[in-house]
Amino acid sequence: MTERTIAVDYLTRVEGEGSLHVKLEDGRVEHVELRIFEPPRFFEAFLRGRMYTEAPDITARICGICPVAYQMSAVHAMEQAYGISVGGALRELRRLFYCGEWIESHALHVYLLHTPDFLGYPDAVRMAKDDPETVKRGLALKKAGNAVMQMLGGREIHPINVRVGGFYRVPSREELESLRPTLESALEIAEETVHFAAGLPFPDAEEDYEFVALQHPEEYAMNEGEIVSSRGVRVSASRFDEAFERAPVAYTHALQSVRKGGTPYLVGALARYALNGSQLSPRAKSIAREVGLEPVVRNPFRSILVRSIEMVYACEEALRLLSVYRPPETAWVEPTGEFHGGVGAAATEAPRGLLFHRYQLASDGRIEAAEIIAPTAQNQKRIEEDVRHVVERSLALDDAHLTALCERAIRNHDPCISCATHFLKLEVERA
Amino acid sequence: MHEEAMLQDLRRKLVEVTAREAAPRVVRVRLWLGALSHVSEEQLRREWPRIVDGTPAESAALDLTTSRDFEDPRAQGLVLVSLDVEESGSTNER
Amino acid sequence: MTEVPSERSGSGTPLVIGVGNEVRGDDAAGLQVTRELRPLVGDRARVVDCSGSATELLDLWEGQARVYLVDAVRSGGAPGTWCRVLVRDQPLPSSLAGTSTHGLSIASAVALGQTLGRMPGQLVVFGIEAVQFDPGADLSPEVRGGVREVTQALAEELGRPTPATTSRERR
Repeated sequence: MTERTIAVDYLTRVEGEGSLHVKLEDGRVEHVELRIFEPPRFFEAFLRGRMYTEAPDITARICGICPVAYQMSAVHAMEQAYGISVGGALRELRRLFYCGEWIESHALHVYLLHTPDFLGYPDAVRMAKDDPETVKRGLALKKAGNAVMQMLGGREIHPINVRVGGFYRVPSREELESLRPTLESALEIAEETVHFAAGLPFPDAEEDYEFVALQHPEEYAMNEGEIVSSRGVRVSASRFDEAFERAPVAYTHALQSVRKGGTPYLVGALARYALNGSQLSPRAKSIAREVGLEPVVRNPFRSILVRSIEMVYACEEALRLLSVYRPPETAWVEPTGEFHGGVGAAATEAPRGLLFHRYQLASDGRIEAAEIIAPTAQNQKRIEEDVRHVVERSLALDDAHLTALCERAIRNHDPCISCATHFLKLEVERA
Repeated sequence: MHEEAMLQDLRRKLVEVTAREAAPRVVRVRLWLGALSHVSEEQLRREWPRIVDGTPAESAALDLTTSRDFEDPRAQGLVLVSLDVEESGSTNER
Repeated sequence: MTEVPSERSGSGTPLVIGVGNEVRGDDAAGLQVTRELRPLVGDRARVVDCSGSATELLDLWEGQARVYLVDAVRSGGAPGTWCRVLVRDQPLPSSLAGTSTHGLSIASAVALGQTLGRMPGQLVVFGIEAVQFDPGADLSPEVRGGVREVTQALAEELGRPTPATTSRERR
């Protein structure tokens, strides 16, 4: 018999979707397992051998909702490796860019994904049939965020104007000023949004989170700061491993990020607000007080309110940045001196939470290793806890209602599961 | 579910490769299973007959390597590494 | 510095939207069509790219007279085959709905647009049957063929004053 070997080397595909498995036994929750496909892990391999200058562009394609976050973490990490410091107007433009993404992403989540949950609609399309005005408000807000991202990013599909050291091209004062009317009306809508969200019916819940976010001495942190937690962590991004680890939780499970020692933590709007809320603008703080938002929010269902407050802040901050803008002399800062290779690490605040990047670079600037820890990988274990508690409180519900509640518990944290739509496959097993 | 999608994709690839190579019978299939794959080794062995049923690989031996490396970039995946096939025109019939 | 069509730029010119992700294998099919189409159609159409999010699509097509959308789909057809669907006041055919690789999908965009009165005058969707969406992979050979054919079909269609009215064909 003649035989030959055919080399195939084919990696089977998994589509970008998530699944949740809940096992109930004797009236208690035996096991909760949230499975998430992590595209960043594939990009880590894809980045190897590429030049350091390519990372912002490649990583921006990981997520269509938060390309700015991926670009920002990438450029900051590379700049750290090369010892480049970016200040002044370039730094402010980056912050403005991030404001755009926060507005865009929060508007999508608040109006098109989260609100239907509270009002009992299966999705935004059905909600739009009964209440087109609400959906239109969300779309208008999102469009304002998009306008900022397009102005600075250069293109709507994914931003191509960002580079290590700054931008390829910076806008004139007049160009930036053209955003003002859009942002002013966005600010009004954002304020209405807070009042609207405050009137939603919130299920009871109280979770004991360890919040983790960037913190900056002078501003509500977006691009820069130390990584801090509500239980005493304070490290720079380059010392991330001292406080956090990536743990394979079960054999058939994705890699999760946990605190050293294995406990879960939470990143995202709730964490930023709890740790840095005092740094919000006076207006954002007063609206928060007006609607009775507590200084630390431990009910995950109320995250919709916190995101709404952050939208008010991002609109205001964007308007402030327009006012102070004077175009920088150069659009980007070049690395100086000889580079001998090394490691660069950075974390920034993506709309859904801390996004960590680390790159090992050769002396010619080639990427030898890349590590990207997305917000959802960090929240995954904590979300499982939320689900467990929600189920424990609601065991009497039938499977359909329990399933819907679990979906809501997950969506509370704006997870990056196929853009957080209803792609989730959910299984409740009652023994 | 992820598992089912992966297994169906594996089956599709097996059929595609054997058709392209005009291989009437596959003797051995080598698979590499990542440490974080959504399908477990036991599950894969259990489902194997169903995956290959009705394909040229239905009587093939399964040669499965299970990785323990969580940092491998393909750790979430299942890789079809290679196939040993009988040459078409071979006189050795089943 | 932006390729987004402004509302001033005239709604009479047809708009072609390529949907996809450049680094996810066959998901780049729509973008490859727009790349090949641009030099062929000159100013007979405006050609833009989009990541495929429903809300972006609404912003792009609202107020336009004629919109062509090109995307990779997985509807069970043979790799590289393609279909042309004229979307009227009905939902997107189930063979196209939900097969997009992008979160809030094209089907959601159509449904939202119909509900909110934000549809273009006429919407034609070209779907190219994809094989794989692997990060970093090139277009599959079969899909490359589909891209060439769709580009040709679009170029011809844009050369005519009004689009053909066949509601659905598969080639």
